[in-house]
Amino acid sequence: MSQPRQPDLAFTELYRARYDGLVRLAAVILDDDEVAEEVVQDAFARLHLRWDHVEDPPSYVRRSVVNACRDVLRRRRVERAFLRRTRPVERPAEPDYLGDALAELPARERIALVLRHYEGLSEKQIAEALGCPQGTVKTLLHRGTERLRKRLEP
Amino acid sequence: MSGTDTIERLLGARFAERAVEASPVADPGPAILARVDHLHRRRRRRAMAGAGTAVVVAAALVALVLGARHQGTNVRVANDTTTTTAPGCAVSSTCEPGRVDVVVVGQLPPTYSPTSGTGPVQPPGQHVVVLTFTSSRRPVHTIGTSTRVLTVRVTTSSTSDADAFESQVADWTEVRVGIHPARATRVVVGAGTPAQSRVSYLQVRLSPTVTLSLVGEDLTTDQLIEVALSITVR
Repeated sequence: MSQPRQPDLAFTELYRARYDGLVRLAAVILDDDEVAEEVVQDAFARLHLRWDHVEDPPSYVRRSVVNACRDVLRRRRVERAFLRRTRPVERPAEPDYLGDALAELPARERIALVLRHYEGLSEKQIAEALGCPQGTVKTLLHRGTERLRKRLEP
Repeated sequence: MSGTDTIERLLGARFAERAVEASPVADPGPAILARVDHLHRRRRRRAMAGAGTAVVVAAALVALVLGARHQGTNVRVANDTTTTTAPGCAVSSTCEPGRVDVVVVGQLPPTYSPTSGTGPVQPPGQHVVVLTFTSSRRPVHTIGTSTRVLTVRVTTSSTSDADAFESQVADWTEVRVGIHPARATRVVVGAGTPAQSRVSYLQVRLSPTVTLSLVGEDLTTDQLIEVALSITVR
């Protein structure tokens, strides 16, 4: 193989530095390690193809991962609604109230909560990652927390 | 401490715990890096040829092996040949650069038993057509342990009694495409729409093997089914 070009080295460095962290972020959002890895690899593949045109690669790849997670969560909600209509609900031996409540949250609320409480991002940073105004992030965080509180209240 | 504080504390603990559990499989770094050079060379080639950015010229290799098994009709796409193995079934395919069109005409098994065999157990009254594709060619878009991204278009129609088929297929409720049935991407298609207009665009990662299951309710066991798959490598 020929000597990698300069952009390839930068890409390699970013990949090595951020891959694990992004997989963990996606796994927390999606609660599925395998899909998380796929999402992150796709994001890096996209970044690689657009490398010359991307101004801030770390932000780009994180936003790309967040967007992909959103798509997965949306699809999952549709699937769940369909399965609920067609199959009897199986009750797990040990109920996971918080997990169930999180799974019921709209995708953006769940992602906002993860970025806030796992990544520790500010509202401004979350707004950048989600591609929405800062005020919307405030609303998402508030609504998400309230929804969880109501679901978990005895 | 307020209820909100408690929730936030619970979330922090939950997310941290989940993050620790998530252990990325063996670092695919070397694999993804091995593709970097290839991708750049291909991009340069494409630029020189003025081919634009969105077209991947990948001659897809197609072969079909159709076998009617207890759980449905199985099709294997391997090389640029077409084979029919089950009586009463016919398969045809076309192949152009970057695109594979597969048309399968199969017959649902006359004695489908939802509880026998090793196939997926379906509730009574449901039938599954499973199409399994195997590509002998390394995907162009391989990166790390992931595989190529394809767009799959699924249409269904009948070669026999179109009206009867349409009314029966109108009850089809889902299309799954994925590496493994258990991990397949499921797309819920609307009930009651004509089969001919039932087109789903799906993003799938085509591993060496992809399974497409069409699950339909109230299909008669002697119904001829034509499933047209159009796979475009991007």
